Amino acid sequence: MSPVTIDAHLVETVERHVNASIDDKALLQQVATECPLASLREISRAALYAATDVSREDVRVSARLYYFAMNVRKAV
Amino acid sequence: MSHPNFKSVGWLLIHAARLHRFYLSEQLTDQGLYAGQEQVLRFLATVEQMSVGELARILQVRDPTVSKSVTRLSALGLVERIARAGDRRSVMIKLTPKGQALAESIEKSWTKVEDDLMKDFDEKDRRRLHKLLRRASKNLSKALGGDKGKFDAPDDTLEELPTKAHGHD
Repeated sequence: MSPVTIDAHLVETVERHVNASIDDKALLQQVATECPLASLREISRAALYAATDVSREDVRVSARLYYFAMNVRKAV
Repeated sequence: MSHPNFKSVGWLLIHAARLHRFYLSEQLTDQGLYAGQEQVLRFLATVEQMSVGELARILQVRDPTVSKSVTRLSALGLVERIARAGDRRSVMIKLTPKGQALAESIEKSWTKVEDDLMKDFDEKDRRRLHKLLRRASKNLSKALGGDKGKFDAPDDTLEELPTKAHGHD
């Protein structure tokens, strides 16, 4: 496992901007604007962590987060 | 500052389960899989072939959910649909060699997460935790009306567990 930690602020930022229909580019841009020091790997990790929130009612958002995390990770 | 529910066993269970899911998800994304797909591959690895309906029952999801997952896995070349012997209208699912290799890799990922989960636990602790979690699951199942089919923990026994599933020597 990489030494990259889970940044609570980054997770909160991803969760605040994500919705079921937002595309990867727009989400990444919004997160990067608010968290300019975050690396792609850290953003991917935060999105994946956010995707594991079982209390989220809209499963489409969880799926969106998972796809986003995977696509960002591919770009690393 | 601790979470207000920090002393609650239920909260700790939820927290541990989320970290487990997150850790496993990281392993799966590294292998190009989405959450849930690994379950289909893991079960198919234990049998020669299986119908969508059988898979759905085992995974406790609806047939169309499994069907969609199979379609995606098929597009990745990991599973294939074949006609059941003697009944060409009935379709069975089986792993391709590529899927078989990935299933073995998933098993290693699962073992790695399990090893890290149980790090520094001795065998006695591991068996005790397993037993306690099963008891806790049964308590909740009973509180929910005791619908075994939906809520009960897997009906295995501690005796069926390998005495040392994942070594820490």
